[in-house]
Amino acid sequence: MNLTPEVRWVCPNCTTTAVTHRADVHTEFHTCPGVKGLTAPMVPAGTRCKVEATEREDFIGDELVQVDGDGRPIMNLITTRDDGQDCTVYAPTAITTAESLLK
Amino acid sequence: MAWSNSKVFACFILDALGNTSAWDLDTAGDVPKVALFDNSITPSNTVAIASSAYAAGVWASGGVSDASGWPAAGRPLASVTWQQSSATVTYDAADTSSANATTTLASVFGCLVYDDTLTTPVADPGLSYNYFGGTNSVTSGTFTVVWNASGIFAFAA
Repeated sequence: MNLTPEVRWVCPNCTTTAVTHRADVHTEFHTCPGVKGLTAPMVPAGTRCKVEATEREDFIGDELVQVDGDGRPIMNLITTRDDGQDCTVYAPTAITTAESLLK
Repeated sequence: MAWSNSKVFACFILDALGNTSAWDLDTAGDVPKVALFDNSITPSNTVAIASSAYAAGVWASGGVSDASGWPAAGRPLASVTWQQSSATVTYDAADTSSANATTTLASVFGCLVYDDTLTTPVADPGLSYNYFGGTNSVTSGTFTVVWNASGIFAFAA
């Protein structure tokens, strides 16, 4: 008997769909053309929601941030559902150079 | 002051290269964790190893957590990798998500990545801290940290 549930995923911003068979709590992600190439979460089919990208609030400085297809530094993607809200954060890379270690 | 950037702890590099602690950050080795923090702290990457550790130094306060979704001690990194490309060495992992889809967190400004396996000479020493660039919240949902394609942290020679 197969006890792993089937979940059908859709993207609110593009036509991508997916099906997973996993027992653990998970979210399916994809590279979404609807949010300018960001790695974006999908939602279970039938979920009413809206997805909004939030631009980084602080200055970039020498941070290696994640940007969308227009080069905008994106801090997060908020998926607002009728019964809650998901948050996908785009973390910058922490970089150390040999030069900085010698300072 | 508050945090404003993402950094690798210099003491981590010193400690690892000096073999002071038995770091094993390969896939089957230690379990690094990602703990979340608010904007009440001012991290520094030049602190001593004891102050880089989880629940020590500035990391002793300002934690943001959800008891079952994202505990105070953090969520584990999975599928970690080390890569070298030309003169840059990168540490990366699979994106890190909350343990359930009913997580509530408020005012998440960044995270501490630390080694939850090491106990001596310093327990839970830090590897890096990553500043998210502003405030992030989730309400009865899933919180996911998507690591940069350039890695969680990187060394450039």
